[in-house]
Amino acid sequence: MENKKNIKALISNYFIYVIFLVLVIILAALKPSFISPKNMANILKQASINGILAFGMMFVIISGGFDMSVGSTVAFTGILAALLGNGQYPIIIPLCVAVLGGLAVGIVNGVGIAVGDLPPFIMTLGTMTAVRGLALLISNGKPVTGISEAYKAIAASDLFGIPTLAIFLLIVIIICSFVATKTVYGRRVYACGGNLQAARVAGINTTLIRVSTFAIAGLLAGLCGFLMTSRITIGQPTAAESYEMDAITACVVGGVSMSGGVGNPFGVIIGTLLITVIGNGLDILGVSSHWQKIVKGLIIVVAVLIDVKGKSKKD
Amino acid sequence: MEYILEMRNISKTFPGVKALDNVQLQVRPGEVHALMGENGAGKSTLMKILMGIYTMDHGGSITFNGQPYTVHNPKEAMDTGVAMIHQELNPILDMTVYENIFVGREIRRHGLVDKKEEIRQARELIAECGLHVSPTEILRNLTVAQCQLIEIIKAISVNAKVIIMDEPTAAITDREVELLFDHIRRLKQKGVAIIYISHRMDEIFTICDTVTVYRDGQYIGCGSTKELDEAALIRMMVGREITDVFPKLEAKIGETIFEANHITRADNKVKDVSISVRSGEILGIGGLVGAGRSELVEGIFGMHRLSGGEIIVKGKKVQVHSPGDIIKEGVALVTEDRKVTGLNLSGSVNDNIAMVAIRKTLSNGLYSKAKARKVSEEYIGKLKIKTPSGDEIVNNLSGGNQQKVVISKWLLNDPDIIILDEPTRGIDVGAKRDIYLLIGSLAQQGKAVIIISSEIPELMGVCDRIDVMAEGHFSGELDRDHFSQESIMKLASDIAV
Repeated sequence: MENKKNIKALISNYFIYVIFLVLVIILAALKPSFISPKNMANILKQASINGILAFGMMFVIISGGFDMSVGSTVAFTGILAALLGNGQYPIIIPLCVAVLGGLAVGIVNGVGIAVGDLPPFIMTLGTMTAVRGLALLISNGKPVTGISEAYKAIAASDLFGIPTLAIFLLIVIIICSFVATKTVYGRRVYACGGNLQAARVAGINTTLIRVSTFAIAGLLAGLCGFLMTSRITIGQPTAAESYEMDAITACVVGGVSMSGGVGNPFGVIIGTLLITVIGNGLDILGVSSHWQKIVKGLIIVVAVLIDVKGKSKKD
Repeated sequence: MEYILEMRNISKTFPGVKALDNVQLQVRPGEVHALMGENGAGKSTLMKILMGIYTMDHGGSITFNGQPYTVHNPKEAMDTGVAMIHQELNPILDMTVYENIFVGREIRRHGLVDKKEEIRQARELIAECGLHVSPTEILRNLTVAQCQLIEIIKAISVNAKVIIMDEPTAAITDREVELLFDHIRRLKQKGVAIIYISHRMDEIFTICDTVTVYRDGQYIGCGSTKELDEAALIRMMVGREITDVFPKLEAKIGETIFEANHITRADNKVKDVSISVRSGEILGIGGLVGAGRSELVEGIFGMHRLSGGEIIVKGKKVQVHSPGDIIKEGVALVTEDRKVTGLNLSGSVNDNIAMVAIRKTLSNGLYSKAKARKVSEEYIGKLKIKTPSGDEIVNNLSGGNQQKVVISKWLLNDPDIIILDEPTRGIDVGAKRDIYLLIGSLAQQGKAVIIISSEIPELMGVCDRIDVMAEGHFSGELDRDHFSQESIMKLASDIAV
């Protein structure tokens, strides 16, 4: 009896890893080119921007929030970086401006939600729309061209065969995992999402924690904006449409609970990879992008279903 | 220094209300000091001032440990040496025991969380309290009582000199209450002062040394529990005589109108339990928390799947697949947690009262606000619900009045069998008495009543008969002539080993 329960819990806890593994095996069997080093590098590259966004999203969701605006922020900061990335300034300038731009959007979100007491959905829906407008405004609604070669080279280059983009992702993963699991700050983010009232009563500055999670998400979105422009070699005001959804999907699929307080960085890594592998694998198999969307949608629903069922069983 | 904590001339004005008017409180080290008063007397407000959640009006003074005391938030209060266990439990369900104990004051090593040390200290604290849980267990897997004890451990572990306990026994049963009292005695020996807020008289006289009473935001008096008796205390609290804590109205007991036989729940939380009740009779169901009492009535009511058993209402066998099936037969269930399963908290009193018997508020097949107002006014009057009007949002009412709204909602449907799960939890003496009288009058009208309560004196006071459950089983039955605290406890602890 007890044993059976444990197995059930085990399955619901590791379900996503199993799915991931099975998927990789099937794809490798169907198309050996799937596991070629070249495609592996490609997957990492594809995963990097979504992965970085997902880690920002992870902090927000664990603290009990939700951020719709990161996609627009990527586009907005991408334009900022493109405008400054024509070789006029050292490459660090567009990087810093993009990151600070993202940080500013994040802080606005956080203040609106934690201080202004607005529902996260409403607040970030607002900034999502407004920041997209901002991106269109400063780019005059047209792609920004004239990116310097040095800037373009960031996304195109690699280090010991690993794409530079993936190295950015790796650094973000290491820092975020460390912060989430080892630091006092990380613990308090979980506490806020688990029970905001309890966290407040325990003397935690919940306002600051909540603002900071949105700031992290914004900052990482700024980094993605910088990388995005390098990758697509122009500043595109309409870029990164619905990237926030991919980031949320990666989190949810990776076991981050939408009700807050639950989730671990490893799950988010798997969630990101799973989403990317599905896209990449289906591409290789020649499945239309329409079908890919359907599959992605199903995966979100099934992942959350398992999350919810797993919880209610324990009650 | 005679007092560890001295609060003098404390007032607190909210827009339109003077919640506290020049009150005082003096607490000696090592004493358990009861703070009593009906809901709305100002106890919680005073404690919130002490914890730095509210700021008091100008002119009051607080001295703690001989020093002037000014704090701006709970963290500062805890750092100074004042901790509080809140009435509403504050566990973070998805976190582990040790994480919950150290939330907000994590142990650091090189700036990072020192998990090992936290787990080690948590294990010591848990063992000291005689609790048997692993520090790494997730709170979601613990019982309510265990969570409550974790809250207490949390408060103890900050090395507070004053611990405020707001209704610490609201969610636990007598056996755990004993455990809690042991901890309190141990804290007393260490010189820790405890401010104890409770509506349960027997606890006040068992554990408290001194009692301070407030009424309507005013200081009424302070005295030793040795020199006071229950009647005197109630008089101080309500400002009038309450002759009888548990009024029992005579009712004519008739035929059996409700039977639930061999009820077994699919999740095995209830195993082969049978109950029956006659018209005009009040049946009590006693037992410890986790004995399966709420689970039994929720099973009967169609909220959970049953794997066995039959339900007979007024001689007719009823198939119950959902609450709707049994409500139709004239059964009502006032659930344990009114905030979660009883009320639409953001709805008005009218909306809530019309929730079950909405058909009675229809006019030409459509919801009629005028009709809803009319029926709800009838119940506001009958049950003496204190509310500015029927349009008031239920969340703004006190616990006792909220409970009356839940009961009205069911009474409007004119049920013959009424099940009440912990009907007086967290409500004050005056409102409790109203509810006992109401239950009595329902029995007089020939309705059958089933009451679940963790307060044994309450069951003994109002019921004609008590069934006791233990670990999901039926463990025995007592008639009114054979009621005694000991025999009920004995049946309740009848746990197979």
